[in-house]
Amino acid sequence: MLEIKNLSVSIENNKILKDFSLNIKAGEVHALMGLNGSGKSTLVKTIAGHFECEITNGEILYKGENLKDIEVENRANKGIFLSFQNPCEIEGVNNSYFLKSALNAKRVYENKEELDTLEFAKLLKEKLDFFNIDKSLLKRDLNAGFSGGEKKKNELIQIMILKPDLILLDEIDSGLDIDAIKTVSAVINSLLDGKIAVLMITHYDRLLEEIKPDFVHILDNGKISLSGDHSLALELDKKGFEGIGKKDEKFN
Amino acid sequence: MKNLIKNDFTFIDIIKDNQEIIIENKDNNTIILLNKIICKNFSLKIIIKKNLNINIIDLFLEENLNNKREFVVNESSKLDYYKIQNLDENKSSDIFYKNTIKRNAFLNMYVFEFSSLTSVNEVSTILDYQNSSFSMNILVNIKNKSFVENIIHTIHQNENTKSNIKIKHILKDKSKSSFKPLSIVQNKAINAQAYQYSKAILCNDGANVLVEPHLEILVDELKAAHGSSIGFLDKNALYYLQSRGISLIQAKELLLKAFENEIYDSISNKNIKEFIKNFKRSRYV
Repeated sequence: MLEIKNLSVSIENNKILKDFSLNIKAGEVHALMGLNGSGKSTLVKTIAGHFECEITNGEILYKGENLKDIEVENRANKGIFLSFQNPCEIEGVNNSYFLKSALNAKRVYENKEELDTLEFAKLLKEKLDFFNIDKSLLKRDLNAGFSGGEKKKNELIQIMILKPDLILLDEIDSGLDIDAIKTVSAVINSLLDGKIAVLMITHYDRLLEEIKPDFVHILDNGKISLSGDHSLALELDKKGFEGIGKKDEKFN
Repeated sequence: MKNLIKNDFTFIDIIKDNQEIIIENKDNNTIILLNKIICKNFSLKIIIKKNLNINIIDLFLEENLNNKREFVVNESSKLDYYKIQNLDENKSSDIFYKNTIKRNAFLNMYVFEFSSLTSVNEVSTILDYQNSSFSMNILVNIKNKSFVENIIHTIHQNENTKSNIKIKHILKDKSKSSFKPLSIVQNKAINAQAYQYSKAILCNDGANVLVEPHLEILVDELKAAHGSSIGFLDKNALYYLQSRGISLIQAKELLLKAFENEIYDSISNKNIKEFIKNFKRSRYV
């Protein structure tokens, strides 16, 4: 599904990713771990076409297509979803209206009929009731005044409704209590049907206990320095980055 | 000429100079003033008698040059005045407003400026009665080479008087907007409140906004503030919307609607809010 070949990315002329390569197949769950500033967020933002990220070398192929020439909105409509570490607050844009617009944009892209308000409300109720997620978030403005946990839940609602093929989770567990992490995991696990792929960035093993990754990668200075299975995450949790030979140069 | 308004809902064609409209009973009246002919040097005076709650929608559909509106809001009354200027882009409008607001009375002006060649509002309000209150909520949403100017002079001369002037500018293409509020709080105006706020979004490099807030304070006990911001659409917000599949054009529209909604949402009367949101010039001309 996703092939990243020798990717180098700069933000404001600072080289963040350096000759980075990774393959993710449909049905796989990958976890990306690493020290602060190692380039984890830059990687997922680059895949999702963030304007700050400048590809200086290499390519990203998604379902065989080079993403370089694909607009941000079309990447989303083709099934790429980035759950942001700190989602943007947009006052004056109703959350429900926004979500319906996003869903209908995808449906139009797929040559399907748009959902009307009633059909959308029915779909929303069905999804939210199943996971017992608070509907009141939908009545408010998009992320405006949301707590950290509410913002993450809102990202989760979007994932449930938009049903992407490639889910990029940038620290979706940060700021969440244990119950909320379980809800996140339940939603993501319910989507794992062998066709979708997940790349999740996390600092904690708690999320990885709930969503079992097939592969764990350690990102160091813009490159993958170690890959393994879930046991690598467990080792990291026990020994820390220094214990597995990775030092945070910012603090040393 | 004098008109006496007694019905609940009234349309009035502005076709003559020197009209005077006295509203003396029937609460919650809504009056729609239709300016469908070219008016030059026209004068209209509207007097709201005591203890009334009145709405006036003033639709400017034709050129208006050097015209005058005078409002007198008597004790304990409230006038919500809505100006909608929606001319052709080769036509101009220039209106001078003079407001008198009596004790415990309110005048709330809502001004919606859409594209024209030039539109100028000069608003003069003297708050010389206790507890009199004046507010303006202005939306300037223009494009091409349109120019809009709002010159708002407010003088607080008595205790507990309030003025609150808010403007939002959405400027596309090479349009220009100028906002020059001057609020003077005299030494007798103890516990007055005077606020001026301006926010502008420039949609293009060629768009231009001039903001000159001015507060002149001659009393110690008061609340006053002014603020202004000018910028482009938030790149992060646009990106967030696009990252969910919404096109750049639709994302910009959503953000601009969100920006202007604060002005629409300040309208408490739902019917009038819908009327203004759905207003189409073609229905009247």
